[in-house]
Amino acid sequence: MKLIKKITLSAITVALLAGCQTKPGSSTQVAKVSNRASNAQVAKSAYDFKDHDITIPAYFDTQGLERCTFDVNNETDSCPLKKPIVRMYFDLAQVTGSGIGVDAMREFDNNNLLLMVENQFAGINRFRIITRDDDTISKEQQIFLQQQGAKAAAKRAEVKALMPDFIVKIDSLRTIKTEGAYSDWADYTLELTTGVINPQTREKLSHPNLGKIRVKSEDVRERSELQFTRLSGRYYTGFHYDDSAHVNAVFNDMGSRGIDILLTRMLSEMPATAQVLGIKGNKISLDRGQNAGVLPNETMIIFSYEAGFVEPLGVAHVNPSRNSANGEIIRWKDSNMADNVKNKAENGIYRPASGAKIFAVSVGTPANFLESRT
Amino acid sequence: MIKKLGVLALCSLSAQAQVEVLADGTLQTQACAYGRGSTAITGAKAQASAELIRFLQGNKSLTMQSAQQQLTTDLTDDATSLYEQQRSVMLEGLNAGAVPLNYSVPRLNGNDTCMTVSLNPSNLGEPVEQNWQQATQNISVTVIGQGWQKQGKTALSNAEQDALQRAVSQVVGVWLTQQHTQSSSTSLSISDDNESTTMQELIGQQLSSHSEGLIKEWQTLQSKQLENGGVEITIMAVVEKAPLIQQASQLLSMIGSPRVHVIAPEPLKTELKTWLNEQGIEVGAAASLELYARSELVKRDNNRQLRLIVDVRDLAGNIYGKWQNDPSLMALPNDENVKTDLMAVHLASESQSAALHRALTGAFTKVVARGGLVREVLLPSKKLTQPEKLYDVLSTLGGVSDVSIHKRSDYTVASLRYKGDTGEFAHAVEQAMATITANTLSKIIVEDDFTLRYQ
Repeated sequence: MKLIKKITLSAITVALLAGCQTKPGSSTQVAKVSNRASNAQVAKSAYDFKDHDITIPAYFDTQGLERCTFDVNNETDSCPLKKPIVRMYFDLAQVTGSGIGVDAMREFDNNNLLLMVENQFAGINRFRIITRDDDTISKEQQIFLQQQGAKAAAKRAEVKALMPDFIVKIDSLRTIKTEGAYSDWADYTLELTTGVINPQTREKLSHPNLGKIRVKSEDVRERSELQFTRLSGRYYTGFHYDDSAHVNAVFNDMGSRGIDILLTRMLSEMPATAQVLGIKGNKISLDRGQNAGVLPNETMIIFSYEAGFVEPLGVAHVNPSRNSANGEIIRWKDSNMADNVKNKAENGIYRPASGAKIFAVSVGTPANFLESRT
Repeated sequence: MIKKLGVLALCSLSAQAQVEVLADGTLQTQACAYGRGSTAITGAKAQASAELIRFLQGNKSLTMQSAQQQLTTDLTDDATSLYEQQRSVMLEGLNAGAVPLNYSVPRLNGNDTCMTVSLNPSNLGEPVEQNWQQATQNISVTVIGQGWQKQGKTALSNAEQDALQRAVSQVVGVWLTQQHTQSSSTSLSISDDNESTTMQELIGQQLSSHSEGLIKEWQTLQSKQLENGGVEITIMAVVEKAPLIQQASQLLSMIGSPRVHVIAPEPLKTELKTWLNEQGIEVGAAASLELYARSELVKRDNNRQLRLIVDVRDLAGNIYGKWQNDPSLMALPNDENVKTDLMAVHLASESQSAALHRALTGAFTKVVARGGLVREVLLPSKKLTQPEKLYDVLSTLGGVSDVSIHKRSDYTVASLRYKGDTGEFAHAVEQAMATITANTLSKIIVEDDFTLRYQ
């Protein structure tokens, strides 16, 4: 009897213990690695913002303007307007091996793509770029020498090129895939990654992190344009997959698209930040403009900053001048603090009290940037 | 005050000029002399200088004087102490005419020419300012020397030797500096302190070690013990000017005396020859020194940069100085004129040509520093009666250093350095050799500045 009791008790205990076990916690989930082509992400126009859209974007940089000397060649490191001096590299990985259309991919001049990258990056004013357009510069020096003489040329040459703080390297990978039965089509892929490297320490910096950009040939060409027919293993008609000029044309377009996407990511990764000097009605005046990389038609979130806490006040449409910017708050955030500021601004110029500051940070690439600048 | 003095000067030809003491301790006086032109100016200067001497002789303390003069300016303590330190130096310097005086622009004042002359004690101690224009024979300098006991000499005598060398070096330095500042054609870089100091020290050391006659007299002002048994002494030395200039000139000409063979591409060759000519250095094919330059184009993708290398070497292969350009100065597109264009730009660049001239000056200075040019004396081995003595005989010749002896086929070759020209050297060797060689030895034959041969 005793034994039966013991067994019963044990069984109940085991059953109870088993009942206590719950499903283990999880903070991750399985996701698919995307192989889709990348797309550009741009800011919404301030006019399209809804109340819940008015949030603070990442990477705003609000401090240190008082430490700036505003001398472009002698700016202190702590000044937020100091732009790193960079030299850019565009590396197109060599294609090895053999296969349909592979030979034509080998010859590719990446120098012009590099110059395109330099031009586009210079325009967004996040870096100071040392060009690698040596041919143009030496040609100019030759003409200068012819026209002004050796003495003037020597004097000019004493001024040395800028020294880079970092190098920005765009690495790329090219692949080709052909598919089909009777009639084939070529499917090219270009993948770009960007590294910012400290050339002395060889450290690759974590910021700005532009991720990986994948461009497929179907983003720049209709599939029918890349269709071709082979007969007895040789090109017969359609897209010249075996001609490097034709293949490079496709790659150039893909590269160009990749650079556009790169730019938009850069603008999100390194937003322009400025301090709001005053608010009058809906008008705002900012302390930085073109010099801090504020672009025309910039969509900026206005927020107050106090003791490390940020509070969005509204969204503004901003246009820069050289050293300052002006904008208009298109939509005020529906919050007490925003109402408070709004009321004060309606009755004159509102200037933030000491201790609190109001800043503006760009949301990303201005809405019309891709149409007007790429 | 000046105004008052001006009125005084008007009244009398030998106006009683007064010395004014400015806040920074500068002594200032005004003197006038009758007439116009350089004679009157010199007269006024001399009078002012005499006035300053009288002032210094009479007043040992500047504060006392300023009280007597009822100056409105307040003298700083620094200026007063500086004055007290420098008083004796100023006095001696003024007597010797070797103290820098600042002269104003001469002013006409009635029949007189007047000048304001000032003396700033803080300018002293900078020998560069010493006035060599004056026809004085002796220069007095105060220097500090340090010495430690070594090689049987006491610390004190080493310190004295060091101080005396410095004294001569300082005076020579001033002289050299002035020589070079006055002559615009030479480009011994005065602005480059290191280079000119090396040269001054070098020549100063050589002079002081060679000729004790340069220091006329000297006296110890102060001495103190240093760590490790060393002694530091402050001496005031009087250096005689005339023999100094004579000997320094000779040393300078020694630097200039070697002929130089220029091997270089044009237009660099012309540039180098012009520079050598400006330095008084002869250029010729049969030379003991070679200025060897080469240029090459450096490929930078589609563009070219220029690399220029110039070195100064002697016939024995010793390199005394080397210069390399900065190729990054300019890159030009590759065409048939690219080398000429780049060379023109590099030579037109002030920084590049200054660096080249500096390197060349350094190289020629080094030739002297090393003890002159290398020469080879070739003696037929079988005619050497006492070959073991060859080294000693040659080493004892004045001006000879770095003797080394080796055999080359039938000849015993003595390689050595000699400060001086080849003819003089040949003569000295000829006399010395008589004792250790056979009678059948021929006369010495000077083949070139490098090789001297006996048959």
